[in-house]
Amino acid sequence: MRITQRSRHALAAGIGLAALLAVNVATAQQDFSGYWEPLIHEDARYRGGEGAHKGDYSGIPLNAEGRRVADAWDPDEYYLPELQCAPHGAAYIMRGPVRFHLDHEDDDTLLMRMELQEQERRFYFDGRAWPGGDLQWQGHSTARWDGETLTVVTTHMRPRYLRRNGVPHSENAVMTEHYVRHGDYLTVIAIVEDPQYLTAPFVRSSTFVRTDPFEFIPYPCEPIIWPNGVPGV
Amino acid sequence: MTVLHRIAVLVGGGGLLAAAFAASAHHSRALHFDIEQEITREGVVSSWQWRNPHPFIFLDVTMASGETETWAVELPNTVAMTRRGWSPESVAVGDHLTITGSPGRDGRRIMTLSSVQRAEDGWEWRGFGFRNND
Repeated sequence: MRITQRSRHALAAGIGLAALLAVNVATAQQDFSGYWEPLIHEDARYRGGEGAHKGDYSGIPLNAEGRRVADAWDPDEYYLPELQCAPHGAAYIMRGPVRFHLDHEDDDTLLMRMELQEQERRFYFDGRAWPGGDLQWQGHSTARWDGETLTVVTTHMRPRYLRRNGVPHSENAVMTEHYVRHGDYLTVIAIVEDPQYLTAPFVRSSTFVRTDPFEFIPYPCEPIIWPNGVPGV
Repeated sequence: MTVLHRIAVLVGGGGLLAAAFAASAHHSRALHFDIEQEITREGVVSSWQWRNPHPFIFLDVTMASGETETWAVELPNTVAMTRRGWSPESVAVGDHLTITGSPGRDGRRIMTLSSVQRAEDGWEWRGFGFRNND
């Protein structure tokens, strides 16, 4: 194929433009690395020491099946030996009092290490598919940059709750999170779509503040076996 | 644990309270406890379990009838408690404690920890309310 002078110039211009765009995308990315702790401002009542009461589904677009499952949920499930050490799933854990460290594990992976419950979330930028196997509490997350916003899509989450009073999500739930930084504040807007239990996408925001590096306090978990199967003596 | 050590824990815990955030990490307390009520139980520690998802103090309480009742006192997780100055040495079997907290629902002998006093060395700890995320 004959390459003319004009096509050489066009090719060079194209390469230059592509390089320029790549630089722009790279510089548009935010640096989210570091240590973060939650500000329990949004839905403080549900997230704080009191927590959610049974049957309080305020603000959650539950469908009839979701309500039926939540109504039937037994709070003593928390005290079952096999579930006492089960962590919050990805669709709730960012609402908890979770301090975390965020940094690149490698070129394709952003790793979120959480102090409480010693959980890890990995955000894969290479679009890799779910590897298969058992569903995980933290699911499988792929990530991309939308300008200065980090967008994370999480699937294959083991069925868990959206609120700590038995509001369910299914294994088919898809959670899209948008991480936006404002100075030392990091806001995560999470949208959960789960037609099995929701009539509409469920949208929440949670905000974190950058904090000085801290040493994680260990979280050894060992269930208590209650004599009568329910808590109390 | 020496008296000085216990006092150090108390002072350290008080300082950390300023930086406290929501302590409820596992389950909603409102599901299992009557948070509108507070009770006080005085007794002797028969077991102290420093573990997660919740540490527990088991308190043997002598009732007016002369019988002994054991109460399970549930604390927030060890991460939250450590940040508030607690450690596995904060309490010991045999300690005589006065504990205030919310009682379990349905008459269960389980309660939360709002405050604790130990007459032996004057140790007093006040920590968790339910309305302020602490």
